[in-house]
Amino acid sequence: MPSPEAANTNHTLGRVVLIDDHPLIRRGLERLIHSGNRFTVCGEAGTAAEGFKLLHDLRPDIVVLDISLPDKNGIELTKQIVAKFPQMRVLILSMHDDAGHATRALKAGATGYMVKNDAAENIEVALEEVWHGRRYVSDSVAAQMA
Amino acid sequence: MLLDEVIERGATEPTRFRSAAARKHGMKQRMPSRSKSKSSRPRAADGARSTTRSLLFPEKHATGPDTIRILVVDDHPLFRHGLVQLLNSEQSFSVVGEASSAPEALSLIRQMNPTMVIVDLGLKGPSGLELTKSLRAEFPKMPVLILSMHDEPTYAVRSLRAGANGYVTKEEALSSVLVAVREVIDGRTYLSPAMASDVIANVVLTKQEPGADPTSQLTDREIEILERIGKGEEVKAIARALHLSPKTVETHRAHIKEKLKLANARQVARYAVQWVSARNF
Repeated sequence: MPSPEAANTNHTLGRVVLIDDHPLIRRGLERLIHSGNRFTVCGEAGTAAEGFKLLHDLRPDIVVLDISLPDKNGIELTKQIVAKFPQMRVLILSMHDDAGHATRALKAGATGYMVKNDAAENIEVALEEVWHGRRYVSDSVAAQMA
Repeated sequence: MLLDEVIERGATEPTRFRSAAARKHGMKQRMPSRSKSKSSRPRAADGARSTTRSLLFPEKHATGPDTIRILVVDDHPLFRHGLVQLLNSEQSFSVVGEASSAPEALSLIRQMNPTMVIVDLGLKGPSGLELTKSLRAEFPKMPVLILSMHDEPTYAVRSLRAGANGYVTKEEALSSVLVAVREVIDGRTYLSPAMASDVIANVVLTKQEPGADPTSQLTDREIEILERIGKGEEVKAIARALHLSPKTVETHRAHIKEKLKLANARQVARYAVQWVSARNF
């Protein structure tokens, strides 16, 4: 479960680390997340190795993780994160709006699977669902999984 | 079909005004549709309910006569948000509008009259190159900076030929876009040093020389169609996306076949797939 300290700081529900190799996409995500005032981005990384180290140092509540990173597949990294930090929630961010990728991500231990084009509208909802430990899957993918 | 015709036929998405300037001028604002899940979300811990308003109207500072008013055109919402945040963080820059397609951009530019436009090369429907040509025809002096995922010189050359004033890859955008905006506003052409060197080599290397890319003989439209074929799109889908007739797409494909010295449409498809995958589109 997310730490109670985080929940009580500046009215935010939780702390988030972003791992995506595109710096401007990270910046866009940060802007969207902070505009909601419910979550705070406490760190960001462009590679799996850098990100994993950051998770160890910062212990965020949620990791927003790009499915394709230059040095490691996001699904593999999810398995690693879940094994090492079982209390951390993983929200996968992906270009692929197909059920196959989503199923693999959820089986690997991710709590949420979000298509990048859905993020501008729904990132805050997804973070909140994931923070509560509830599964979030973008509508376009969920329809295929039903 | 010209972009103007697309607009006339109502093929454009609803225009979204996201700037303080738009509000100031009393322009109509349309909110994007909200998902069901969003409408039912609980209130924040402090009782405040966050809205999409802050997303539509980016954090801004006061605009003055020297403010560079920028319009951003990119169909990738996360990238666009990142770019807007970066540009608005600069005191003298102000993003006055955002568009996700070429028709939407043209309509917004006519209303907002920005100082300059930043255009994503890979827009869905009419491409960034098409939009640049249309802008050049209608607004000859408005600087256009192309943002692209391609780091190959041929795309930069094609962009400059279409009338763009600068070319920045998305990879280097975070470090270069602010400099690039200032350069094009000051009337100079902007290419990163690495890209400038590649572009010079590309221009100097003629198509007869070994190592020259055979696709350099293709027109912009043919390159666009080759790319779509390589991504597995059918003729009808390409025709729909580019507002062309299927016959016209087939004619372009025949020209591609001739120029690349290929035997048939299947070979064109195979070549296109390899060409696309080699470029990691």
